[in-house]
Amino acid sequence: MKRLPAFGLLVLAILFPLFYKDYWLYVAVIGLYYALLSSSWSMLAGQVGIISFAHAAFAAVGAYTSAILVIRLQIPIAVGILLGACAAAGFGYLIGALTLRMRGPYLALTTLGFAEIFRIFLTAEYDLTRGSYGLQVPLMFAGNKILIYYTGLGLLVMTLWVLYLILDSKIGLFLQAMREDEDGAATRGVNTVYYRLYAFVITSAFAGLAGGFYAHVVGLVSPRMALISEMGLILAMSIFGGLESLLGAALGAIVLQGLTEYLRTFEEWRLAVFGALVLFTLRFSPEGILPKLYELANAMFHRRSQPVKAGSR
Amino acid sequence: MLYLDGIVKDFGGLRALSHLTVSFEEGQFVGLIGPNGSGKTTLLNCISGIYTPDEGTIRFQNKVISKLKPHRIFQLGIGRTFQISKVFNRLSVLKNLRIPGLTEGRMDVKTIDKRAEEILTAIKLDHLMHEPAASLSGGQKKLLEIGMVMMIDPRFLLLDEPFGGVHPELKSQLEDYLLRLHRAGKTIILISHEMPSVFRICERLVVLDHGTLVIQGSPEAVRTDERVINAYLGGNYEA
Repeated sequence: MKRLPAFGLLVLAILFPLFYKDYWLYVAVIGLYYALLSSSWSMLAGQVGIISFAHAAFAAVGAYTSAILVIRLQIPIAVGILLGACAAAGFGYLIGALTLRMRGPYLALTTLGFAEIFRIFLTAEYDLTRGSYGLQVPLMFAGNKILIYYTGLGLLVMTLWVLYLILDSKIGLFLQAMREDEDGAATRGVNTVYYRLYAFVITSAFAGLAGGFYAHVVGLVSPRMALISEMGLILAMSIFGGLESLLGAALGAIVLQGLTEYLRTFEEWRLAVFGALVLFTLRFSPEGILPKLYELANAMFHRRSQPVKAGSR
Repeated sequence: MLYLDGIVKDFGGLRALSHLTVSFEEGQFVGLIGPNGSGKTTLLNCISGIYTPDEGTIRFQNKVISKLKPHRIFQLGIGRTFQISKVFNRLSVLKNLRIPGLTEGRMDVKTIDKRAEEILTAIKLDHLMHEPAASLSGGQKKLLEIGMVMMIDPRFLLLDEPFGGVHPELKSQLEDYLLRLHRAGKTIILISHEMPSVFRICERLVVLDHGTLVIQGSPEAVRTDERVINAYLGGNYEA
């Protein structure tokens, strides 16, 4: 019964291209990219308690790896995307190993430092990445939006499925224990070093996968992908959708991406709207707006469907 | 069985443990006492791997464990509890018990749950099995911590202030449970400021002050020792 809304959303998502073509379908594809990033980031931040600001940079690692390999080695796009995810996982391992003993703000600032270094490298380097011009990348399915949309949807469903499988396993239990108290988990036998790295590697791999997908959707990768404002967007989407709910974070991304397009005429002011939304969410519904709405709708549905007892009036 | 040789632990300019040498034999129920800041908890942290000693070695069953990670030490059969209970508040009581069971690696979930139910019945928390640990009282959390440690049937239990802030009725239940564990062959090292309980249930006391060993011996010998009376118990102490 609890899975019913998720299946309902999936059916809606499958039917979406029947009603929306071209522009809004493209917006939805970009929404799927951010949904991949938000859900994997919420796994790291909401379920494990590791606040990393390098997630957008990991996506850029995936995007550039896939782009360079596809352009230079002429490998199939799907292989490029997979190798991009592997490269991001490798970077995730390095950053995870570097920050093993760090907690809270120290960890967050170190990941921010990595993200900035990587972005500056992409901008300053020219032979490989063409600096701030970026790289022209072949489009997947020759730009067929419907096929691209279903590929993105498939990737999101697969990502959520894998992440929920992990959360439901003993590893998920260990990660949740570590979020609450790392020393407590370690003294009950949890190899916290291993599982911390595990969380970094898995979530970075999904960020890389998202990045690779994005590269072959928009046909251009540039250092803008690793901008801190991109990370801010992922953060806003995850908080809005519900930091501790993977599905909520994914939905938050799709809703806010739709809102971004809707508010396009406001130009840079839409970021201020996002900021206000995050503040509003954190103040009034820290568990996220979407889980709150779902809870309210559920309560209303149950109230309506309850039979009126005889003599109750 | 557990042998600490010349353990030194410094925190900046403060020496918490100073060339401490002490051993604990299998099957003993030892009380580790001393004034605040005497190094009791630091000692437990060194044994359980949270701190690595700056000098000295810790041997458990002839194996050096002073540089092992906490999870490895736990898997060797040394379980510990904390002064401020480290239970996982957002998880259910049952899931709290599953964690150490799953890390042990040899039990399937069915066996783990069966063992968890047995332990919860023994510590009288079975009716709260599916409640979040956050809903437990302070005393119940102390019991749950001991239950978590018992999931791997450890040989050695390090208990840091298990009676602290516990309701008298629950305290007596806890004492009974610890005595039962001791009779079942567990080695227990207990830190506590609850001197009546310590004198009642421990068969050997180790007294620390300023990170050094003041005296060790039977409760009677410790109770009448001049140095302990002056440093810790006070002149007119009666158990």
